[in-house]
Amino acid sequence: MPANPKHLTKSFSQQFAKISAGVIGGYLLAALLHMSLVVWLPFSKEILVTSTITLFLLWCLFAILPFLFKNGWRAWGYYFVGIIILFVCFYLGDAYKPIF
Amino acid sequence: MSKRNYNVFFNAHTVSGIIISFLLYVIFFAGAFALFKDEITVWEEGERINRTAKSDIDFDGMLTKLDNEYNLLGRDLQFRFGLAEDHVSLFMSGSKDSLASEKAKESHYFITNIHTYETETYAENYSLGEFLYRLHFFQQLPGYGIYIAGIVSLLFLFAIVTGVIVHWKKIISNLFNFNPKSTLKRVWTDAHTALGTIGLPFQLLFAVTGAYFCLSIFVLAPANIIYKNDRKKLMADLRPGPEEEDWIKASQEKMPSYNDFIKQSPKWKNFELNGAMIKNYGGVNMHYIIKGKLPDHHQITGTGRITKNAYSGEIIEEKHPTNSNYIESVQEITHRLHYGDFGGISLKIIYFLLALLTCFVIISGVLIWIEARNRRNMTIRQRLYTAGVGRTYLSICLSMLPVTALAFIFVKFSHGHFQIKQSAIYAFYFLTWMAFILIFRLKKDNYFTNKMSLLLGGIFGLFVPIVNGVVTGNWIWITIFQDQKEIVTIDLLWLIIASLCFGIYFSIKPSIKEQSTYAKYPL
Repeated sequence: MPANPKHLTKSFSQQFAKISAGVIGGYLLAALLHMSLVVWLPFSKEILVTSTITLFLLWCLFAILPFLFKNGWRAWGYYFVGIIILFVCFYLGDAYKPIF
Repeated sequence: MSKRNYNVFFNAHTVSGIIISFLLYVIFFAGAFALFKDEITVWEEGERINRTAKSDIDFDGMLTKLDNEYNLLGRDLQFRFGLAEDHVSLFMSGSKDSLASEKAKESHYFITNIHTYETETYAENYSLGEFLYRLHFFQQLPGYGIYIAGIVSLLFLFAIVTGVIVHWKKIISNLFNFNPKSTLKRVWTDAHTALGTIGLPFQLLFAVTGAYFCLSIFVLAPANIIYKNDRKKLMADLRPGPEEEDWIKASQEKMPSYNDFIKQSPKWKNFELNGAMIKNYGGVNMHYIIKGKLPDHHQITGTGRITKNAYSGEIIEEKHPTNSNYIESVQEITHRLHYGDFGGISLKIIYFLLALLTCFVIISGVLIWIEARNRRNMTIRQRLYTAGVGRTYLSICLSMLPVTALAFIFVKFSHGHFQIKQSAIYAFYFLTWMAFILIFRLKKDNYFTNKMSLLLGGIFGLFVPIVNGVVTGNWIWITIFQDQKEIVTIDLLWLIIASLCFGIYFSIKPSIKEQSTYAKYPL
């Protein structure tokens, strides 16, 4: 019944990559996605309040996804690109139509 | 789902679940009792409650007395009304007047009796209800306890989602498959899936709201960046309320009656007060504020408030309770869903049972882990390690029941004997718990741990209403007659828990041990 170890990765660097991508990368993705939505969409305050719930749900989802990758560093790669895109999204939105 | 992904999710579910298991159990067990925090406090005090309407409290008398003792000039006062107690909590900020003495600049927090105006500090007024409430987010570890609870919540969310993915196909079949006579590993697995599914919405709710309460910093940090670190503006947008007023100078006019203000102000139908404030006490810009809401069966969210100039009576800000908006409602509903305080006692009992059910899901998860890892192809070291961790977890978790029951008896006997009740409750609860954990752990027998916890939990639980009757004369038949709902609730709760304990105790027979893998492959 315990998970069959032949499907699990034993390499420490792989485990580290997947967990760090999920915890750190996942949080940054979830946070930047919400920040972009706040600056680009109407109802910014409402979105901000909704993020108290949705941010944790998204974070959890992004923490699970890296485990689907065989190579955890590839997951970090995708996450890194996503983070850059979302950061630019937020930065432009904040610069062109700052809420405050 | 591919075989690989299944195994990966399975492992993720197991690891995250095992890491948090006993912490999560403590959170849910203490949290189950924390639902009845106010009832426990009333039960502990043991005094008859008069249910004075909040608008009938003599605030002017209370303020005069406090002014003599603490010099209220220039302070902000904030009253909070408990649910049913004859007490209000009062926070007074330090005086904002720059000429005030050092003593007047100190802030205070009291619990004040509404009849005698006697004040008690937080540590003096501490109760077992407060202790269990704080224990359920590890606040006894000052500073970082709440973050541990937050991380546990997040991992709980992770374990729930991966658990649903792993068990998805078997959810329905396992629900009907349940056979308590099967091997223990089967029993625990089936129960874990079936009860986990039944409790799923409830558990998801607590994982998400719990993560938010403990780790709100992760939501506030992005918000702060958007608001360019203007915290004042952020708070004003997210938690609209009476604005801060700077102190100007003391007023020469006579202090207007606060009683009159409270009696006149709530002109809305069915409005229930839950808080009151005075800003800039005795200043020219002194404001009187009341806050409240409509009864739950009228409207579940939506607070109302009025801010008036204390001297002219001019309305400065007003919010009608039916006029609720999304921003405030989301935050209110998050709290109310977590605290389960929107449907009276019956809803709290459902919450209580679901919390205990979650405790069972956690324990059964640990038991699957122990049972599944005692196999011939594993080294003796691995097997000893698993068994040891399992025994430690079970002694920590299961001993909470008798220890909590004993703590109820302890606070009843010790009420009024300790000046600083907080230290007394800390010492008693943690030392007894430690002793139980040590005994159970050294006995090295999960069957014994389980049976003993149930038996002692049942006996001590049965004594809770009896001790209450002996010490304060609040026998159940008397309190029912006097309509002291809070005291009756706690007594009945323990009677129900005790009878459940005895029922389960006598239905567990030693023969069950043969169904364990430890009977097949003994260590």
